[in-house]
Amino acid sequence: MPDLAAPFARACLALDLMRIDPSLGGLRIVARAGPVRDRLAQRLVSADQRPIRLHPSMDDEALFGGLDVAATLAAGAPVMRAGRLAAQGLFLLPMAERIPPALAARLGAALEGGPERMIVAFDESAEDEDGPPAALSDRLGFCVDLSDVGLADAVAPPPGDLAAARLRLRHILTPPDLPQSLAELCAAFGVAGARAPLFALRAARASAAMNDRQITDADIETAAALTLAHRATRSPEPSAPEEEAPEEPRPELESEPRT
Amino acid sequence: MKTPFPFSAIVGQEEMKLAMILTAVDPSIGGVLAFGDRGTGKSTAVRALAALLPPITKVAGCPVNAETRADVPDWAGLETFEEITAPTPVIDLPLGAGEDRVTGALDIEKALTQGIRAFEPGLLARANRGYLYIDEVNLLEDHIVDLLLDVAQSGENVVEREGLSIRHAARFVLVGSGNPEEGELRPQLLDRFGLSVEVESPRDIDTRVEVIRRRDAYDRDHAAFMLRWQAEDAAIRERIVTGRGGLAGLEPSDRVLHDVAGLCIALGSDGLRGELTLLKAARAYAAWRDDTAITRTHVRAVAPMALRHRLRRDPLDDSGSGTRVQRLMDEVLA
Repeated sequence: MPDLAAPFARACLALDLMRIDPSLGGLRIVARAGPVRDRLAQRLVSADQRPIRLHPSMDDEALFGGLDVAATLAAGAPVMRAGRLAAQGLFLLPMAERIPPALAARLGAALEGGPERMIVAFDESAEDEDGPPAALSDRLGFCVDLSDVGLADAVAPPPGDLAAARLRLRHILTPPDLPQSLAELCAAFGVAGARAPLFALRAARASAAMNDRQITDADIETAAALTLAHRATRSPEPSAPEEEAPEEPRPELESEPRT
Repeated sequence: MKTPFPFSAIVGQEEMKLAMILTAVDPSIGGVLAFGDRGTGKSTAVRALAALLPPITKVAGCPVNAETRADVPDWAGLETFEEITAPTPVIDLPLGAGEDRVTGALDIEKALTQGIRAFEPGLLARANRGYLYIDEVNLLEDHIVDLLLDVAQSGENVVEREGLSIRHAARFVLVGSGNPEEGELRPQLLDRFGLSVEVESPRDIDTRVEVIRRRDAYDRDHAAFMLRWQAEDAAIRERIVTGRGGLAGLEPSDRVLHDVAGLCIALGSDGLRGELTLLKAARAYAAWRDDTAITRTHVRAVAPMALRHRLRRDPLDDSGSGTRVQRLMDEVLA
């Protein structure tokens, strides 16, 4: 079992899981460009697959294709050019925080239904900036923050046999009480929407397939850490210690005229 | 491609499902606007509706899905007029689609390669007699939304550009969905949608569990799951067809008309669009339930979805629009 506390190992695991089940949608990596991120990007390139690069200002013609005017004029017959989204497989989206909402909506739609597509989004937003639009990030199963990872900690676990795991996936059963516990978990952490628990369920099944077993508690923990943790909007315990400073007498505003 | 998730298997979201069914019973109600949380099955419901709708008869190869030979436009250039049965079209309108793609424009291919001026029909032509779906409608440019609503209302698409002068039938139900976090739709556009529903994530655990279970079954055991829900979808389809037949026989009584008008006056809505939509929705609801007369119950049931987007904004009242319509009903229909 890879160490889930290490963000880099978590990111690698997420990549493996979504290769086993592409309906997990993708992965958002919060990190600036640098050697750590480059090392992760290397892992995206597998023997049979190279990620297709997208960029934040692509227009419809680049995405969906269109008439190739030069070739049409030369050939005297309409020649169409395929867009990037005609392909399937893994897409890489750098500067994901810069994409306009319309593009996010289109990429989000491309992830749903139809052929298998996954998006790895590099979110380079500064601390006070918003990440990519929710129309996209809501449809990516995973999110890992690599911004505080040093190069020494960026140790990638050896990749497992993903092709074999893919074949095993359809034989993994869903434990009858798992939907219940996932729904309760989501409610406790204030995770809205139906996508999150479904991502968690798929991740648990993919994790079990990778380890060649039926779903165990360890798989569920892994899945929850990877798919639910970043969506939490509140802490589950109502008795959690409040981070409020002890009441201090506030200096009254009127009594302190600024000069 | 996988068959879409069955309509009848969507857990909860009764109001959204009802609104879509009502437009299938009576397409003249106008569009449906579904606003709400992410991941609540808005797009799923539209895709499911496409699979559920009764098929239409159309002339094969006709760009505007004409029903008979007489309706096929000249510019289509058809030589054979074979009538076939086809699924009701449900067309996706992608964000950022330009006006030329929506209304249709000069066929550049033909212009370049054959030097002739021909019309290339757009999405409005393809959506004729069916549905046009826009996800994230609040992100669509205003002039496109305005154009869509105009065409949806008039039932005719008029193209005057690039030396073309074309008009063709474009009767469709506009379905828009969106997330209010990304911005509201302008009120000028809002009230031109027939019905409006608010979609929320289910609050109770049991509903959520059922959502997960069904979706998981759909993913893993697709064939069996589809088979399981096929009969339920067929039952809805039959009720829609029956309902369409029953519409004509449903005349509103004076009392119902008074209720409808009273509600809209209390609401302070401009024009008569509110009244007409409310009446049509109540009639479609009665037809859907196979009732023999329109009563106050029907008006009550559909009033929130027919009126909530027509309320004036009241800065002193921040209760939800659904609650405000409910309160109005309690006063007027007491």
